[in-house]
Amino acid sequence: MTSAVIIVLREVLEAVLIICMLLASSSALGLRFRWLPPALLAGLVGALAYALSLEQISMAFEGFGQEIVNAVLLLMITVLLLAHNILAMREFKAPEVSRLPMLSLAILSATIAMAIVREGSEIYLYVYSYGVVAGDMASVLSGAAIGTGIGFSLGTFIYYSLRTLSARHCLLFSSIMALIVGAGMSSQAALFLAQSDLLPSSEPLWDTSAWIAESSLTGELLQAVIGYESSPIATQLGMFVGALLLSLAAIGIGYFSVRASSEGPGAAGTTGGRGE
Amino acid sequence: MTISTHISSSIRLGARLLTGVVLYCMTMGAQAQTPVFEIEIREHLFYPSEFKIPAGQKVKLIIYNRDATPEEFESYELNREKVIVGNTQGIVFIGPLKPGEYPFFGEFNPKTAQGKVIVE
Amino acid sequence: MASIRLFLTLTLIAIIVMVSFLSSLRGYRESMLEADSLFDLQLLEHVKLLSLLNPELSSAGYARVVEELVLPQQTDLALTAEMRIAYQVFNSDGTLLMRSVLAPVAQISPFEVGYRDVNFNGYRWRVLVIRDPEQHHWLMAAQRYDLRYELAESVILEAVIPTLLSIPLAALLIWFTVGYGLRPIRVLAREVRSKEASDLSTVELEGIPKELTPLTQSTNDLLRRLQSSFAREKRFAGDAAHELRTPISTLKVQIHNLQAELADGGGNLEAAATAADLHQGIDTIGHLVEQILVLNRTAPDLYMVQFVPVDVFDLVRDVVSAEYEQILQRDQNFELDGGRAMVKGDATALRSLTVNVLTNASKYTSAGGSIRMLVESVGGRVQLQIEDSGPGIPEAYYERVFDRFYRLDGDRHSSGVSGSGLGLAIVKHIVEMHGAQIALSRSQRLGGLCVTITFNAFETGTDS
Repeated sequence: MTSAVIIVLREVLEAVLIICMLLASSSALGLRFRWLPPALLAGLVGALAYALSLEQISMAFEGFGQEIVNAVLLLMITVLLLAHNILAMREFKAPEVSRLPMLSLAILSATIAMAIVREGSEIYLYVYSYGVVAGDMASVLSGAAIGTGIGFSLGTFIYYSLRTLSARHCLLFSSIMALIVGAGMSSQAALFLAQSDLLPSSEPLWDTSAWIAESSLTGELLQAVIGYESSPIATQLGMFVGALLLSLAAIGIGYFSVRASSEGPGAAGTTGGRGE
Repeated sequence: MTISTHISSSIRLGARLLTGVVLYCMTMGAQAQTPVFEIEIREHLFYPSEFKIPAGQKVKLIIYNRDATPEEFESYELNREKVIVGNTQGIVFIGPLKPGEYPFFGEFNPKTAQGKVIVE
Repeated sequence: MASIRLFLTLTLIAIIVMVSFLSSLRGYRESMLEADSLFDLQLLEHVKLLSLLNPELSSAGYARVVEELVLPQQTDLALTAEMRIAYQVFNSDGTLLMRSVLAPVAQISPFEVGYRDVNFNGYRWRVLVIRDPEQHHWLMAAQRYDLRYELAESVILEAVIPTLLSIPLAALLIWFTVGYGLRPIRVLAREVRSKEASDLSTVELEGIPKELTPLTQSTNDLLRRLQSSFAREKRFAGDAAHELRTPISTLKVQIHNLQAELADGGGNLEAAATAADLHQGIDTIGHLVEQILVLNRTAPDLYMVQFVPVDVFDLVRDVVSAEYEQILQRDQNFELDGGRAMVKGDATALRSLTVNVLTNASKYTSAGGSIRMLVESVGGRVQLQIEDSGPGIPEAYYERVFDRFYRLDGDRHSSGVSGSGLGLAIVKHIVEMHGAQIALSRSQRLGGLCVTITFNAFETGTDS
């Protein structure tokens, strides 16, 4: 049962973290939640498709299809979070002035759908193989329920804590969260690429597993939030720092793009909005 | 391109796998000699459940899943995770590593599917 | 926070889930560790028993294979039966002396004292190896990990599952409790919402929780202030109009006298014309004051009367006969169609409405034009329609003409007719007061304005 808890919690935590953070900033951006059900549905369908075609995917790219798809998903989520930060900062700087509702909707929906594809497929594989096929329903389901329960409770707290803030501070905080979560995700992507020998690997830089084990609840939580790794390699650290810097740049771009677009009416922002 | 030669040669070898035996695989014509190790999953157990690899060197690990159910090869110490669908095999590069013991487990059956890599 | 109820329910459930699941998880882990040490102890006991045996090789040099003891009621003890222990006994030179039927012929563990985990027979086993201090035999006993795990887990799950199942129940209870706790707010909201626009009485609720008392107090304060300011406004306009009535009547009498004197004195035509103008001006003022009084009496937010059944057709006929002189003077064609049409309403107000629409139509229709009125009762509705052959009103002004003191084209209407600008505002007020609708359109038949007022019919029950 603990294994079920850990597996489900690990996956649920990451997805829930992203969903709740984006839900909070969605309401701060003045968007309704009508976009959520389609995004969730798309994510679930994608997760199912990924899980069912995992064998073909694994065999693709000379046996590294899984790593490549995972890395691509993670990097795309990182990029989408970056885009979110640009939008959030524009709103932070000049509330309601230069909103791009359709673009925001597309970015939020795509991020959530991808997060669910990545995390949902593994849960499905596990629950299906060991709950349904192997018939160990009681322990798998109660484990999954506990994992999901803890994940969603944390999500509720995150969402309402962000919502208690004013719209601007909510955006600021979710941008900072997105920045860290995105950096953690790109460091995970680096690991997948190192695992398939597409990026260089090296001896771990340090080992903090004696303090916080990755398998502990704290470790899981930290991994979901900051991409905690007890023994990271240089490539991971590089990707983490790189993503962090890019995200900071995105925040800067978002912040300074509004002044420009308020001076000139035909600035980039408005055309982006019309593109939808 | 080295990857493809690794894979093709190891798949050929994999058909005649000797359980519990560590295989050093010399790839034909490749200048970088990445050692290849193979392990098997049967009945949610790893065979061999312990094997030794050289320190400070990248190693290619081929995991054959002989069960019908998928298994996720996972190790916090090695920083690796890979789902291996039932009746297929997966390749994972590990290392370079410092000498020591690096446990790994099947995430879907963590109580029984356990093993460790001994780096020396 | 879109909904207090949703917020409270979600966060409360989240807290419960968090606390109970984390403690379950912790309890589970502790229990598992406890179970592990119990099972290890069981292995130790087993090895101790083995040490009491003193197995020897059989004469043929074969190891003894010991069958499992099986209880007769195996079904009752399925789990215990499956927890059988595999064991091997080797002598000091590593020859197998004895093994259980579960254990393979091959040595299951290296000759190293202590607990360790090994794979054999397709399972993962927990093995305890001990060296017998007297015969120096190697004693090995092993238990299947998966069975240990299953047994321990089945016991612990019994404790965890009720917690899990109780969560949905708790969620349901929380949802209803929060809903119940928020009921005073809903009641208060309903109370405030259901108040009529005219009803400015304070909100009185039984047993208001103390959290809501400031809210009801300030709402009631607001209502009270509103009420008194409404009353003041009404009184002021009414009083002013009323006070003006007397001097205007006096003025009328005096101008009448003046005109009579001028006529008697004969001659001064200019003065007579000025007096006539003056007379007309005073008439207009008098009319305006009357209208203000009507408007005040009928403003829907202040009007509170008992409605009675009124036959609109009857009423229209009455009004027409009273106002017919004006129509005749302007040499206009008048036509009234329709029949009995009952509505529930205030007869005085409805009369004032009819007078206004009729005089309006007559006023803005040129001499020699036509006016047609129609009263009909159609399917639960009573329609009062008045059409004229006048210039009509451009569609863009349909809304604005109902505003108080609004006159098309400013003070000088193209028809050259003066008016108070209150007529249609009064009409609108009376229409609203009766819950009726008023619509302006272009008359298909006469080409001028067509005013259609639709009331709900009064069902007497005997109407066919």
